[in-house]
Amino acid sequence: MPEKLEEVLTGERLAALERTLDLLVKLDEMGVLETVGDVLEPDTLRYLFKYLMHPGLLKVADRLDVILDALGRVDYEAVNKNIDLVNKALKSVPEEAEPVGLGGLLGALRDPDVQRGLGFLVAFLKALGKSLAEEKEPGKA
Amino acid sequence: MAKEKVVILGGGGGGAILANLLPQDRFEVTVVDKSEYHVFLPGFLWVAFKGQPKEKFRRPIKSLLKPGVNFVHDEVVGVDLNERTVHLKGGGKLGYDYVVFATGAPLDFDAVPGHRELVERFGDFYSTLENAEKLHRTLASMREGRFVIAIADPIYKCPPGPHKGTFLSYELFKRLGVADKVKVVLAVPYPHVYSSKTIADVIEPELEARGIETHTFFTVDSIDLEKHKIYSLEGEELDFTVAAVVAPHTGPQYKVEPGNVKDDSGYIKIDKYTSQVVGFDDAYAIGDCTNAPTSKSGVTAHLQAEVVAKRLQGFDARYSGRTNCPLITDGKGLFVISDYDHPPIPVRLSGLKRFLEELFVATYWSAIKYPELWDPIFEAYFEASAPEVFLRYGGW
Amino acid sequence: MGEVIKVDAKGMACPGPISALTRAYRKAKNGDIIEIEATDPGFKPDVQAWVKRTGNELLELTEEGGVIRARIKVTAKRA
Ligand SMILES: Cc1cc2nc3c(=O)[nH]c(=O)nc-3n(C[C@H](O)[C@H](O)[C@H](O)COP(=O)(O)OP(=O)(O)OC[C@H]3O[C@@H](n4cnc5c(N)ncnc54)[C@H](O)[C@@H]3O)c2cc1C
Repeated sequence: MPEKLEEVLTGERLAALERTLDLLVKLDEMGVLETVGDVLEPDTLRYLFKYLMHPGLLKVADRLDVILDALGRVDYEAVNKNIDLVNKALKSVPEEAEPVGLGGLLGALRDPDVQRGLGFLVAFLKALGKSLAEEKEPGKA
Repeated sequence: MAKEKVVILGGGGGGAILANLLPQDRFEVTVVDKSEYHVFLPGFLWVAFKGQPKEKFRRPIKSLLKPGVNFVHDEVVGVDLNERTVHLKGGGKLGYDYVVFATGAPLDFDAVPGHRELVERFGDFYSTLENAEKLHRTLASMREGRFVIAIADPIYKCPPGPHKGTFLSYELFKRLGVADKVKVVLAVPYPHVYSSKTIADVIEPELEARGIETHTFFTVDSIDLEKHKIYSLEGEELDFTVAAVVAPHTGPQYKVEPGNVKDDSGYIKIDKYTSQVVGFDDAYAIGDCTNAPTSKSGVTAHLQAEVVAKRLQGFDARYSGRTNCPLITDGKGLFVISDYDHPPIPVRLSGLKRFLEELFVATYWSAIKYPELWDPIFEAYFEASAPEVFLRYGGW
Repeated sequence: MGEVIKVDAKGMACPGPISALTRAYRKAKNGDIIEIEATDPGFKPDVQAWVKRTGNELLELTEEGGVIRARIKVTAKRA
């Protein structure tokens, strides 16, 4: 260990130390130091990490590259336009939907709500089919 | 109440953490190690294949132990569990209320003919920092030929270690611009390139993509340095220009009374959950020196140290057999996650895991010195990534 | 006459029963018989592959109540 303070406090270290001290004063005036001291308790850390280390989060973090790649290509305007529709429909689905056979299906088709829903689905299916065809043979459709 | 005397044999991965975990108002803790330095064994890879300075991976044991923990620099030459006495080479004796074996698994370079000469010539990445340094010099001067990594016994520390060495050496040769002239070869004793088929299936395409030659069912039997050949127990042979062979591991070489606490291979027989030495309620063993049927890894040593620390304080704690052995390629990484009840779960190679491994290495010294900071983090991680939890998520 | 070497690898997963077999094989001599029992389902194809690769003789391979039992005659050890 160096004996004298001058040996430790070289010119550049002194300059860095002065800046650090100014920063510490600022952090102290803002109450940051005291707060950090209060928060740094083993139990606080324990609960923080227990919460953060969720297996789902670990899995998501592991696939952040894949997820960001997918999320980056989502058409948010299209999603935004239709999201309320989907939310509402999902919410009003009964807890246990009745099973429907062929006869029931024919009956349901007379319901104007079902007809509107089908119209939407058919339009969606058509668009989906078109992109599938394009995926298989680019330039064809 | 008088403090209870705990004597910990070995200040490596398991012993040092245990010493720092025991509350000093209750225990008088003594660590005995024949070496003044604690060596971070995974660092061998960083020295051998990345040319990092060996000083980075070695610290004086004393500097890692909390103030108040006694350190005795001496070699253990015998332990008498009936007499509760530890015998030291210097002639001294230590009595104890509790003894914990944590002397690791030394390597046996005499088991395979030709092995000593091989290590003397080329170095290796499993035994010492000096040998890792030597291997780096050897590899850095290779311009062509075959670099063979092989294994002499199927049970060794950190099962993905040789695979890490394989990927990292490939990366080194690429950096040196000789990857097309130096062939990297990996030979393993198992039916697949890794002992677990789940993991083998993940890394096989990675090895193939790099043009790495692999051999299965190849357990090193003897080495002929003059002919540059390695012979396997299974009856095959491999040519090498340079080779690094993982030596057979052994249990404690010192005498333990009664002799029957060691198994056929010389490892200390313990209860795999509590780490208690069979037949003794005042003796424990942790880390590489035990016969626990799980991978010999730093994670095992650490988790067993936590279990023993809790048990000595009167709490019920059990080790699940959890492993978390990292396997890294040049860009990605994975962890081999298993426990006594679950074989390795499916995992993918990813950038996050590569980063986490780098983080584990960077924070190793801190984790040993400050368990109060790190244990909540590790605990949360091991809980969230337990095999039965991750299996519900289809793996990691 | 060779010796009979018994290996109990029941309940062992990876590195598993093949490792136990390899370790027994290291100690064995030609003429010995290795009898190994395992519960890891991967052991059956693995031991078949092992015998093929090493050129030893598989005398018996049975599965009963989840226990796979193999009897191998050691014939291919290098002198
Ligand atoms: C190349 C390599 C890579 C690895 N990578 C990983 C990894 O990524 N993750 C992981 O979890 N594990 C890894 N491991 C395994 C890990 O390093 C060990 O499992 C771990 O160090 C075991 O800890 P331990 O306390 O049982 O033994 P050690 O750390 O080996 O400590 C034993 C101590 O006992 C002392 N000692 C021995 N005999 C005596 C005696 N007679 N008297 C006094 N003192 C004695 C030694 O000097 C030493 O300090 C790796 C190992 C290697 C070789």
